[in-house]
Amino acid sequence: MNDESEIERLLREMRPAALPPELRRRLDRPPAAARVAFLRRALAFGAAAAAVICLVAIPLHQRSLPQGREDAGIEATALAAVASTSQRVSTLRTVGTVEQGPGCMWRLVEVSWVEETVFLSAANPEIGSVQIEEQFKTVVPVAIPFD
Amino acid sequence: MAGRQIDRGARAALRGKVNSSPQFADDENSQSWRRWIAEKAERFLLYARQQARSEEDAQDILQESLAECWRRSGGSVPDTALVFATLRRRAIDFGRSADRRARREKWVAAEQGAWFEADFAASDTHRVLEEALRQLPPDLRETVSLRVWGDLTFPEIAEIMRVPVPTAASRFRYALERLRAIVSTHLS
Repeated sequence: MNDESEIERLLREMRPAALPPELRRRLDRPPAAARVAFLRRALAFGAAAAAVICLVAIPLHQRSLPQGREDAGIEATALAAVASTSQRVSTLRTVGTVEQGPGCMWRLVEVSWVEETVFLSAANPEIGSVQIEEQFKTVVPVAIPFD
Repeated sequence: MAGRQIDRGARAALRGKVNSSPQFADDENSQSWRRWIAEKAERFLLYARQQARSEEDAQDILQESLAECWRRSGGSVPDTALVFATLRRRAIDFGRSADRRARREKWVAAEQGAWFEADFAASDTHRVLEEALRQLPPDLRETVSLRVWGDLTFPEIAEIMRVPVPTAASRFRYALERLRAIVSTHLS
């Protein structure tokens, strides 16, 4: 056996150092599963947040209508009723991550959504309908085990 | 080679899950990942440590590279040479990133972790060899790592390092000569 082979044998005997425990925890789960779970949770959380906000925002919005109409020079009685409302999420943006402890990470997601309300006019047909579009934004924490 | 036999075995195990339920497939997927990490991650981390300029960067590079390769291979065990190539590319990207420079310089000043497990039966030889390995020029050290701990062929090493195959082979031989010279000087 020549010297180079001997050196190669010695090198092969050297075992790479073990993974640090913190890194081992980070590599505990396959990434695809973690990503799917994260997206599932984010969607569920987003839908729940939108529903809660609708329940709170619509009554508040309706209470504020008379003031808004006076500002616009339109009589309150001119608007018959809310014809339709709809909400849609416009953007989801990650603004940061928070580590609460080993293996417990939170992603802070900024959820922006738009609420559209259409009012019909009974007194003034020329106006027809008025569409009000409001934008809302909030930051929600989403748990992520690994990404 | 042993590494390739493990790869083939893991792939064969994954092929057997075609008729599994989604939950069962997910469990198998996690098990394959954990087996792969247990078998190979230490070798990948050694290479990442040698490529990165800080321990923190090395761990980030490793995690991101393994995740990228796993996703690209559709949730099955990726080819080992592909993982080393990905580690290399990401290490270069990390090195270029200006916002990491300050953190890296701070870390370089601190003590870096050992590349190998301590072997008390042959501690002197291994310690001298590890030190000699650190002293090698990066190209030579990388060739040794890919060949010895990556268990790659010279054509695979040549592709990763973007050099002709004879260059990869001669770098390996030259590196062994340099290591032998350093070790014999220290141990004599």
